[in-house]
Amino acid sequence: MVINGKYYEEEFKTLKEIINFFNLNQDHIVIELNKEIINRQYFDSIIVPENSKLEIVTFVGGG
Amino acid sequence: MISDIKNKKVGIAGLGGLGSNIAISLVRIGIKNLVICDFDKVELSNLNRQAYFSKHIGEYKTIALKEILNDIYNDLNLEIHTTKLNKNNYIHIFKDCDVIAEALDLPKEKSQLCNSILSLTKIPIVAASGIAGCDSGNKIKTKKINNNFFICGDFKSSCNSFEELLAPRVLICANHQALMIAKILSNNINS
Repeated sequence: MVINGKYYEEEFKTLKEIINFFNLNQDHIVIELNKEIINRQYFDSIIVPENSKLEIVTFVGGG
Repeated sequence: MISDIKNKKVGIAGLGGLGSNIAISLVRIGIKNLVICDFDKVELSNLNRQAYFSKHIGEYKTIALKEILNDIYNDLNLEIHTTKLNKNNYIHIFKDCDVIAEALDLPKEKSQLCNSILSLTKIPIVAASGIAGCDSGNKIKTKKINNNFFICGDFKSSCNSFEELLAPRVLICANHQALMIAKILSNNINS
């Protein structure tokens, strides 16, 4: 699995597992899974296919 | 480029340091149609980076920005929404826009807007993350996530008790966003 351009050997089943692995605040992120932005209401339920490519954008404050 | 973009409509979510300055740059390059949204009023502490003047203190940012933009060009079509953005009104407010600028303050609000717009619509969004402090302006970049999602900033400098928001970096980022919006509207995202 490739996350933000880096290869990981871990077998993640759900986006929630990935969020916990990287200790991310799920309210502060946007996830693109295999070219599709995933609505955050599905973070707990969506199954991540093998060899997926993810881009995780983490927001910091200021506007 | 100007003839391509003048009939397009741009939504701006949040009219603080980013949004107020994005609006000015877009109007100066020929954008005539803007949807501008913010619930807040201008305060003295905003004037170090936001586009407002001391005479605007106490006014809604939507009203104050409308006045500033109309002082630049008086033939604009400005749709103003003086309301707090939330997941129940994003789509309604921005549904006719060709592109949206995310210029909100809190990370939770930023990610929620991007999540909703990108997962529920086809409207491109140009967001910002990492604009605080006095680190080099050269660290502020525009990053393409996909054809509909771009993010500008240094991606780490958060506004907190140690790093405040200051005009130079905020305006650099605002203009990265304005430039990317112009490129999206003129079908030129890869240059």
